[in-house]
Amino acid sequence: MDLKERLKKIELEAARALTDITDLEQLEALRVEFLGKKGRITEVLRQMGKLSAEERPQIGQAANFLKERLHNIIENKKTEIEQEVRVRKMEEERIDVTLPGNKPRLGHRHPLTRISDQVKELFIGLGFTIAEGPEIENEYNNFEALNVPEHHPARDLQDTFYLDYNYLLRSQTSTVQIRTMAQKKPPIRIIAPGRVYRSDELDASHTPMFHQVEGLVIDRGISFSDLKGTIELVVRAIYGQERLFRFRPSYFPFTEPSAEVDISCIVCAGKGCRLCSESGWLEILGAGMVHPNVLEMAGIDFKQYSGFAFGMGLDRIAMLKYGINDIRLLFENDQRFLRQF
Amino acid sequence: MMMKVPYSWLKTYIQLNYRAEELAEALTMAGMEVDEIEYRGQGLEGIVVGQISEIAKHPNADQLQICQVDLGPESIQIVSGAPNIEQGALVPVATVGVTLPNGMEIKPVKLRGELSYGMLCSVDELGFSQERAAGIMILEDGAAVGMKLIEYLELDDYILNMDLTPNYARCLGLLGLARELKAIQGKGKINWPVLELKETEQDISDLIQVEVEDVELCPRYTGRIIQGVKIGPAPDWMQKRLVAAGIRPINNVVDITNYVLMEYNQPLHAFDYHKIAGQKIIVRRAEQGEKLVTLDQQERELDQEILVIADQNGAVGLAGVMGGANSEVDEDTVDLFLEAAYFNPVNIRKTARKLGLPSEASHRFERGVDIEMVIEASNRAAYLIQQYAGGRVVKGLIDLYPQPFRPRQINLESELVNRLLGLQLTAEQIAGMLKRLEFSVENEGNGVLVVTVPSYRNDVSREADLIEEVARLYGYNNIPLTRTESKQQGGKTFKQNMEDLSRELMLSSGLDEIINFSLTATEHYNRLRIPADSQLRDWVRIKNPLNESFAVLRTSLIPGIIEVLANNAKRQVGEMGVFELGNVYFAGSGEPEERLMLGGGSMGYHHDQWNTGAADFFFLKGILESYFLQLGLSTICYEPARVSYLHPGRAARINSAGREVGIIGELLPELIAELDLKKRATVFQLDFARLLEDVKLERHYQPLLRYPAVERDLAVMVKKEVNCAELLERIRKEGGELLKAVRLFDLYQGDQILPGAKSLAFKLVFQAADRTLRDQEVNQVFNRIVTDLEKRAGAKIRGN
Repeated sequence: MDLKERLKKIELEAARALTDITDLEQLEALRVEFLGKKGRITEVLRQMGKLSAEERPQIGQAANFLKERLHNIIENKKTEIEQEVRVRKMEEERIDVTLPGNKPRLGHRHPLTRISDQVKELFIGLGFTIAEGPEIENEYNNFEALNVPEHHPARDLQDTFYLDYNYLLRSQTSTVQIRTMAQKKPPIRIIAPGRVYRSDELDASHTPMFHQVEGLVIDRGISFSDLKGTIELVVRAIYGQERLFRFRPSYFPFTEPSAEVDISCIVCAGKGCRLCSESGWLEILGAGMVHPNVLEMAGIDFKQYSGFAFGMGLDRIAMLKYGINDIRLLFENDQRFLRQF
Repeated sequence: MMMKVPYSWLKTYIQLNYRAEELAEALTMAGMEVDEIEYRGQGLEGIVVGQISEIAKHPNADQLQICQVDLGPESIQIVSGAPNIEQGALVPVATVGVTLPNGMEIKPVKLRGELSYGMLCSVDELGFSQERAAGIMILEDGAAVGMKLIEYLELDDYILNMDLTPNYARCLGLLGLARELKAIQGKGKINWPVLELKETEQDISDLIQVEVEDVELCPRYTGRIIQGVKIGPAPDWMQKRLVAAGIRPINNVVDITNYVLMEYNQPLHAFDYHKIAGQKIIVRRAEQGEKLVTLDQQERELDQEILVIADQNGAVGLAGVMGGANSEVDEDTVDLFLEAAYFNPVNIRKTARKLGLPSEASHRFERGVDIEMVIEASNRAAYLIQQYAGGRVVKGLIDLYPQPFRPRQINLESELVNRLLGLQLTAEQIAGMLKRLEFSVENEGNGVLVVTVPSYRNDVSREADLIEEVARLYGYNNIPLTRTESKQQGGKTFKQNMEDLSRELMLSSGLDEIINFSLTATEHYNRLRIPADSQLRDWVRIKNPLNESFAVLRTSLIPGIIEVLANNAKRQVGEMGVFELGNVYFAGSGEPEERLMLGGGSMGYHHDQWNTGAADFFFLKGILESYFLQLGLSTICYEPARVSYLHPGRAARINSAGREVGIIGELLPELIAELDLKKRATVFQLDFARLLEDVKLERHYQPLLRYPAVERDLAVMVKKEVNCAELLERIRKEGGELLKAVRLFDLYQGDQILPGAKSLAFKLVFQAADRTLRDQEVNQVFNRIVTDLEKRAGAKIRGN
């Protein structure tokens, strides 16, 4: 058999062998068999010495050509097999992506904090600062300065806890209005969230301690319509854009005119249900123009300055927003409750 | 105090444009909140009047009878067991399909084989009585066959339950409410009650003398005498109206005074004339220690702050609060002395509170009655007594009114009204609204109105009050919505930001936020074995606590946190970590103190990092370490501490810059058992204000090191008593500049090493800023550390 024939044969055999190859080891064996130092093409090349000067370049070229072809074929095959191996390996590594994740344990914010944060953020955006005052207050700040003289029937509006030395537990965050006016000249623009206390027996809608946020704006030319515009933002931010609201005359000793604000019921949207006692409305906050007596007592000239104030129960907001039907849940700290927020 | 307003009664004084629900809405929107509308005939709509036309014995039951009941259009058969039925009796009948107030639905039934198509009702079945009645309700005159029961009983009516705020005192009477409604509706005429008196010849001054000693406490006192009264029941219509208004009928005279109270908001009191000794009434302050038995048969001890109505022997009544038993009208009373007065609101309030005696009368006097209406109310009562108790009204009326009412005048600038409301009303428009409310208004020009306030408007004392009236009539909801710009930037203070950051860090560490009541019980502190001299017993005490559970203010967050863990453990919660940011309170000496604290607790934590069985301790300590790092607190250290409620070997004081800022520790094993916690628990508390003093939030960038780091592990065996902190300190000191980091990664104490010893393994990282470290250099430092630990800490180095 001449060398040409042999090269052809080699090529055919290599092609046949390649088709049966499935892994890299076999491929490597094949490579060694055909392309190795002692491989079959080398063997052909070694016999080239016997050839004529004419034939030699031809065969040499053909052999090198074959060598290169085989090399390429083997390399391609190798890539192909490697790819298959990778695919197979990844297939074996397949995970159940529906298995639970390794959750970092994150704490749950108390619903009252969530509400309080939301309210603070809203008012900071409106240019308010956050004022604070003590929970242990004196009678003057809790009553007299808020236009509730001793022996006035308005004292019946809230049952107050009294302490020694004429101290009491503030029954409303309105005390912070007084403290702020004592420290700061108008313009004033504050909210004051905090704990308040009333001697109400524990039941589904009363706790002896609860939370309010107070707001106070004092400047030249502040009007009832400004109060309404501000409350509109509060209602929209807390209860949603589509919520209706109404102002209703009411009585607070420290505001005049005074108003109670109702929103359309969040359950029935005004049709009447148990939550709203069939009225379609829910009371959410009290507000009004700061009473001139209060301004006078605080040393603010009521001819020059006017202001509005409002107060709302954070616990009530939380109950309405989250559908909590018993206020005591907010203070029982039951894990099943806390982890819902 | 809830006021019950019967719709039908109110309607007798003014023509109403509203049905009951509309009326409630209109009143609510005008500032008089109606809490509830009650339909009086609720559940009785289907009951009709029937007449028993025939009664036959039941063939199979001795206790039952078969009645044929005529309902007008038809006659039905009803089997009844009532003992009091008789032929011809008019009775309430519930027919098939009707549901009784107690929820019972009437269906055709067979009773011992006989068909029954309805039920004859008793008073309790109709909901009129709580007690079981012996027989069915027999109806009297006026009932007609086929009539609806609610019509016969006049129950087709609504009651408005109103909780009036103190500024609506004038509406505590139906006439005052009618007057208010007239302004709201903008039309209608008040039907003032009839009071035609037929006075006798004799003048009242011949029969009684009145002296008011304290005019300040009693600015107006009037009296009338009515003779020949026959005490008996009040007329039926009056009793029905009183019942509807929630007032129990007693006798004609008492009922009439209550009736006029409801009409005029003027409390009246009738004395038995013959029980007034010496025919002289003296209105005076009580003597210190003077005693009076009031109408409720309680003996009251009085003082000089209390105003009494007295005769020459002593007090016969507490002015404006309650009458005395010694002058009470009873069934033998013939002649009456009728008092109508105006008492000082503050004094009445003090007396009612001091004696714990709030009454319909005191409630109204406290809020101020209409001093100008006193006589009219007295005359109205006299008229009713004349008409319905057979009384003869003696001529004249005693009226001690030394300083007649002078109406208040207020100058109101329309510019101020508009500025405060955000409106543009003319002076005329404002005047028009005020006139609707019966203020007299004079327009001075220049936008100034001079407003005269009626005597019944004691809630109006200055311009702001008038502005509210204008806003009310204009309609709060018709006022536009505007906003003014803030002149300052909104924001939080450093402390407020730190509170938020602290919450954030606690939450991201896996602790759930809790909120406990600040009010608590001392018992929780006893359970924690808090020593008698501890500051934690310096409670602020509530003078009027609801009960023992809310008797003091907390001095620590920890008792509440422990309580939360225990309560959840009871509900089978195994693992729980919580924190609270809130105030604690100390009584101090005189000036109470509030201090903000950050507290936390953990039980049943799953990962016991050092295999010490103190998983919760190291969980919380780790949280605090991260927290302190974030806050830039770099001088924190932990020292073993003794705390009454903590495990003596597992408690630490936390110091920052050498000062105590908090504690952390595992609960005493006995306490865990007492609380039935099932698992161990650890708590901590930090003094937030003190912590803030050391907070450092500024940061400075440190250049990143470019040369490679070399790590070495170091395992040492030391006596159990040697603290990790001490070893770390030594390592750091000897490690010097090249030692960039060291951390404990393993702790072993057990069978594999000597008893009383423990093994700690540290990872040390060496690195230089300016060169690659050579092994030799690292070995040198490492050996120095080893030598120091061996020499000074008695450590044995384990093969490394």
